[in-house]
Amino acid sequence: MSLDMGVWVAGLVTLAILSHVWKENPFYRIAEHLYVGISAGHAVVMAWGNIRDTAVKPLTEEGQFLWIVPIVLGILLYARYFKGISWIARFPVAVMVGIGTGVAVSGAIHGDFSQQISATIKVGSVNEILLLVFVIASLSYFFFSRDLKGPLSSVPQLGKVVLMVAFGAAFGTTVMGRMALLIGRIQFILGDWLGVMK
Amino acid sequence: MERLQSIPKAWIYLILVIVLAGPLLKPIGIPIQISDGVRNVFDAIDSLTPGSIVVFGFDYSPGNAAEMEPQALAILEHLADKQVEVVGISFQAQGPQMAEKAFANTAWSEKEYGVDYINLGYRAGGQAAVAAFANDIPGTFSTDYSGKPSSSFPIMQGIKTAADVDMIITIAPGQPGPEDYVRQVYGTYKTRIIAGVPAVAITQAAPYVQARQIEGILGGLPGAAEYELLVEKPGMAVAAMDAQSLAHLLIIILIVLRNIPNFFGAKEARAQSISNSTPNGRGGRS
Amino acid sequence: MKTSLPVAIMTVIALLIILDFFVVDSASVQWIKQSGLVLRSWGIVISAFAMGLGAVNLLRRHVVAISRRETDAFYSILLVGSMIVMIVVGIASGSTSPVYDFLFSNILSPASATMYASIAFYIVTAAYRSFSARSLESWVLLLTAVIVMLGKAPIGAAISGIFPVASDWIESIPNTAGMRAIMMGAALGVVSNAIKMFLGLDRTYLGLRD
Repeated sequence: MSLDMGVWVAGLVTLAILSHVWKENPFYRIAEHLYVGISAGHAVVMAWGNIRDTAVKPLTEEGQFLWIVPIVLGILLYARYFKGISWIARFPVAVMVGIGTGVAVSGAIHGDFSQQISATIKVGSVNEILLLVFVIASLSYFFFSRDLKGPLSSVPQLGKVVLMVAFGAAFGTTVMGRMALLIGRIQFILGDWLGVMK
Repeated sequence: MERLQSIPKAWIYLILVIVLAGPLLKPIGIPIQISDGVRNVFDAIDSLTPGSIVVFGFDYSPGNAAEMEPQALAILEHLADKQVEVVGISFQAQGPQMAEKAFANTAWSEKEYGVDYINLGYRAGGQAAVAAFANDIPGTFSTDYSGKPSSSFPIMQGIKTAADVDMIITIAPGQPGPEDYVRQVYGTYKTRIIAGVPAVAITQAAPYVQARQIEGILGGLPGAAEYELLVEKPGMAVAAMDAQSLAHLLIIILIVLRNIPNFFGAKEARAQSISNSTPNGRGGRS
Repeated sequence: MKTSLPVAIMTVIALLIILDFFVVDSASVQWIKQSGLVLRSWGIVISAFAMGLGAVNLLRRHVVAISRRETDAFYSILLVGSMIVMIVVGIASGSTSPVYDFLFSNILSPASATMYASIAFYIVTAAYRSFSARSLESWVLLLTAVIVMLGKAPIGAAISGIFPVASDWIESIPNTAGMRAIMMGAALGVVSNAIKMFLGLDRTYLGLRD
């Protein structure tokens, strides 16, 4: 059994959170509130580190005055808490959303669209032909503008089955992941804390 | 039979704990096979020459460390053996701590900080930060995790953009994750990418692997276990595999129990399904 | 001005970054490359400021609960107290200091890991109670899940070598096809949503409901 105080604290926190599976109780709520408080505190510390190292230091130590702009914009985000001037917060939000949208659109067009098409149409083996057919079938299932009739109607039907296979695989891997996380906790309790694991 | 259909919740929880804890206390030793996917990752990393620059994305947090950390540790051991230089970064706020812990618990603890490896800490902004990193590494990570100028470390000399990086390895359970590196780095710089993903994300990462945008993935705890075996350092993941196997078996048994009545009525169900499958009856649009 | 100017700013910035991604680096477009570089680095700083909003919201809520002496005020004191301790220690002595590391490693880490791990219990009961196959599609889904669960853990190969092979094939062919279709649809969604935002048709990001 561990003699480390930290391991004991971690063990008790683990049990407290785990107890929620059985029933909500004061121990769970204590651990939960400590967790939320510490996480939020950590986020603030990390955020401050980013502001300090990325903007404040270059501004104050190297005289790069352009960094005033994102610092002011960042502060303006907090205008939302003041009635009357809360609309000012829209400007930094607009800048942030502009950057996010620009980055997302360019990345999606290239990485998730055009490169995916080129990978799909490179057909050599039987599996690659199957992949092409399955991609077309799956896409046709999302084609809502018009219902396909006649023999073509079987294409979206195949797409539906392909999608079900994909969701089934996702379900299987989800189970796998969740079990791994619980195993990790049991390894901690039995190994690090109680020291009974081989 | 009906009793098996209505096992109380508390019993199921108890069975689950026994099924998971049992093999941890008394291992069964079910042999672990190395899959082609994991071997691909191993071969890719093994192809790195000494002195290569590897950016290691510690993009996981304690919440998913049970799955992600064994992957990170096993790969880091391999990298230490290959004598490459590792630049640790993170786009997840709790990542820098994970990096500190991982470096301390692997062969990297014997190496020289700032020369052989470095922890550049966390940058906010998600995919936008990944894009910033790709185009300007010293600008985006102007300091290391402790706040010292990154340019003052020998390892950072000559690293400007992702083009100067031989390989990016990201251990990421969510976003920003491998797909963001693909979109923002691979698209422009064609830098080799290896990803460690949680089991949940294996299916989503598959299209990028097929398109060769990602060279290979380690998936979940089994991926980590196989890698631990390949680097001959069996650890937490290998120890967990018996429990993982039995857990899967338990779920399958529960699903089968639940579906026994449906199975006997399968023919009927199929007939019904086909009659519902006319174009108008397609799920979600009728 | 309060609405149209932010929309215009957002559009110009987004278009500049898109342009930066697709133009080839040359002297004539250097200003685009440089603007893209500067804007993305600003994004990091503004995002960092935005991270503080969550903490402020939490503080406001719980300080009110404490000042009103609500029944759960004790928990709010714990939350606010631990947040302040973390911030003070982190900023004063750094996030690598022993106290900070103790709180991170022994409270935040196990709590967060256990929260995620608890889901395993619910997924097991859900598998038992809810996953009832009643149509061809749901049988396909369940059967695939079973093959993948067997193929991905060592137990599958121990039963039969066919499980890992089948599971790998499922992952790399039909699953890749299905996920790719979804991914391509989502990429188009990102683009069409961006166009709506550029045209000012979607202004929800400014807190406006149209």
